[in-house]
Amino acid sequence: MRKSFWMPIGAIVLACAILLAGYNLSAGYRQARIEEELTAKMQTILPGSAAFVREEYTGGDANIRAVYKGETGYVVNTVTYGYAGNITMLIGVSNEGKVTGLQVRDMQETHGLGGEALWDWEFLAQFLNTTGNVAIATAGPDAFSAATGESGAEAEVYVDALTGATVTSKAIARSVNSAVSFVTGADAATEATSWGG
Amino acid sequence: MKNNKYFLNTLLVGVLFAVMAVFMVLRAVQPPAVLPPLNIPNMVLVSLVALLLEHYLAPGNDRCYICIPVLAALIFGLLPLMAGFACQHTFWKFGLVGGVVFTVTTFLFTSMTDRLLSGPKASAAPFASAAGLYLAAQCFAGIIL
Repeated sequence: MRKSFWMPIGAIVLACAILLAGYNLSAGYRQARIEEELTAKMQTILPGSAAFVREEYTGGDANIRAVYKGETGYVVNTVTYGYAGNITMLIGVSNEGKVTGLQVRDMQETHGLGGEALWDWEFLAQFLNTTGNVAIATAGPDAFSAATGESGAEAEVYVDALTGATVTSKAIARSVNSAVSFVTGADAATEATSWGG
Repeated sequence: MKNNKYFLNTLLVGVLFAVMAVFMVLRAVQPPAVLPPLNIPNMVLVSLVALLLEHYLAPGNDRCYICIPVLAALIFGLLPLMAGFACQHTFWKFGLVGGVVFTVTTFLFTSMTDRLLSGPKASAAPFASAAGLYLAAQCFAGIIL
């Protein structure tokens, strides 16, 4: 076999070895940084709580991936499907069932449209202090119905969607509803809500 | 440099290794950073960088369209796995898609560049081809999404 054939094979082996070594060597530091950053973020999302304990979630809500208990409430890690993939969020909910903060942790939504959910505080702030049952106020017949209460009457709060990103906005609303339902006990499928308000 | 039909795949290893190394460092230093996914447009971008490098470093290499997809599948499958960007369940998907994407990109880029190189703006031909292909890849990904 020609000598040049082994050049890419050797390069692959060498690159894999370096990456694997780097990944394993940085594992400890990476994990420490992740936990440190997560705690700091949760303290911002759920004011008044300093320490958080991860609790096992045994409920049936597929949107909820992890639950962290603080002194003043809970931080719920949710994953919902948006327009271009999963949207991972942290949502702080007080013991009274009010949303105290939320942050999009990871998403691959369209830049300039759904991607704005990462930092558009005007959009995200609409969810603060809500107590679940949030829906997106869409244009057209739905908006009219929402105003008259004829359709979607189960929603208590209607928030404005991100421009051109209704699917992303709805995914975020679903996350908020799941998180609040978990804390208030409305998530009937779960046993973990027996302590909920 | 003498004709080496495997040089392109070696460059692809280098480019993807650099990207994965940067991502790995960013994940360790800045955990909340939202990194670009390894999707079709980004695979095309990595492939185009390797093709451009090859064009200027060692132009005129032959292509082996049997080895290219096999090696590209290995590269796109293994490197993200080793860097922690793919798991055991998804690395074959990266490999399969990466092999196809790299082969198609190589064929299109080579065809376009060879054709354009005969014109008066020959030096800009590779960049023009790469830019056009990257835009086309984004449109294609938007269609199949």
